[in-house]
Amino acid sequence: MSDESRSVPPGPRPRPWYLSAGLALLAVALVLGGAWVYARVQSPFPFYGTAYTPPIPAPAFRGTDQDGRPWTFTPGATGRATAIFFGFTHCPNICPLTLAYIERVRQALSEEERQKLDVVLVSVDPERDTPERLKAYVEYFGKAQGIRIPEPALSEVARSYGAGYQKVDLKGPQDYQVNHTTAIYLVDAGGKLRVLWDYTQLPAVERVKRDLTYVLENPRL
Amino acid sequence: MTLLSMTLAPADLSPGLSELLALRFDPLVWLPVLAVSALYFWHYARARRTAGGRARWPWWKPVLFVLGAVLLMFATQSAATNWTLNSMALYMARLMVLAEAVPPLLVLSLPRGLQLDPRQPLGKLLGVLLDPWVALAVWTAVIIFWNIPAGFNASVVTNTAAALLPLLYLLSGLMVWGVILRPLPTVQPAHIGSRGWFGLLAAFPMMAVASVWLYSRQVLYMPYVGALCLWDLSPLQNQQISGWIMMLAGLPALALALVQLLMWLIKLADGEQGGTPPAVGD
Repeated sequence: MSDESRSVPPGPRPRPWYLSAGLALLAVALVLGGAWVYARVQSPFPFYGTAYTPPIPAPAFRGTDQDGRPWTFTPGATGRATAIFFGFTHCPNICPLTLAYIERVRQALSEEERQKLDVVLVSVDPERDTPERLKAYVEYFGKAQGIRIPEPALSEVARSYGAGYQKVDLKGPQDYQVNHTTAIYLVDAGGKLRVLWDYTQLPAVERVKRDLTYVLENPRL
Repeated sequence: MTLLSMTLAPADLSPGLSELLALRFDPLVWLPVLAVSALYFWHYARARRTAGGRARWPWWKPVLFVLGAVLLMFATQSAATNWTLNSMALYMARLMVLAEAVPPLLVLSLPRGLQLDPRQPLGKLLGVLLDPWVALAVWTAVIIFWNIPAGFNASVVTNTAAALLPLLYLLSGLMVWGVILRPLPTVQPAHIGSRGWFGLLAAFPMMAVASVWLYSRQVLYMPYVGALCLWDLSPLQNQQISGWIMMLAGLPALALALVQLLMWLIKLADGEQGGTPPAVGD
């Protein structure tokens, strides 16, 4: 213990506990209120998913659709919004759940809104996901397009969206699983990435639908 | 706690230490840190001109300051931030550095016996922020609001976590450690006993969250349920490691709180009042 510390003044009198408690409540209200204001400044609409702040142009890409025809995604060119998911047809749980839930969200939209939305599954397993297999898979879950992109273009496309994937449980050339990012990326009619949902958020169909309706009505052109 | 980073997915899922610690330059972080550092060392150089100044500001305090600043930059500006969605453990380690390592280093780097006038605006503000009730409430709110898996307001939690949460951990950590170490005795009335009780209570929310993560048999934090994890770890292993990290990070503050309580009890046993304790660390 130094001489300095011995000469430290005793300090002010403690506040009454009720005044300290009131200040504590005020401080918590300011922190949480500040977080709310920050979130609203970043994105005026209270997205349930994670908003892109600011929205950024979605990367274009090309591949082959489930009918084996060349397919090109040019963001903003169709005048429709696009929900993009990276998955694969041998996926045991996440991909089927994701496609099932996104179809439920789609069905919850009005007919007019449904016409303004495309759903795209980009296969992260182009070796096994043939066009025929993709077609059967996406049609089983509803109305979506299955897109096959060969490597190395696939890894570039996935990376440009912030998605990753990795082969695991390799038991043979045709026997393996693929771990992959489980987000759905929503591109608006203006070609901007607006929001993403993790697949665990999708069971909240009404909240996802609310995000989707807002983006359909408010594209960034 | 919820966040989804907008960074590009890293191609390498087994990064080495040098890859994790590669620094980037965000002027909104670097410039304030450099400005505060310059101000600190300018005052330090002035203080060193007198014998009293040298006694109040020994050489090891700037060392702690530099260490705190370096840890702050690695926690916020390193490439480790790019792997946030691939490793809850890595993310938690960064947050714990900000909450439990940087604040004590920065608080201890302040010169001894700082005489802040409690009647001036800065003194009044710090007197409120370093009130144990206020610090405990803010710290608990940050830990609880952003760590409960469901979140009290999913939209706010999801959309503020990536940018705001590290800053909140740092600021609330500074408040907590400011109360525990009492660097500004002229505006901080708390005696050593109440600081010990405070430290004990402040450790509780973090330890509770850490225990839940440690012992839960399912992944509670939604974005990590199906995450592509670093180093071949499963999401559940990541969650458990995060629990360990949180628990270990909270131990020094908890230990210090117990020491303070023991010192207070000894003072009571000796028949002394706890009104004018020395600052801890002196």
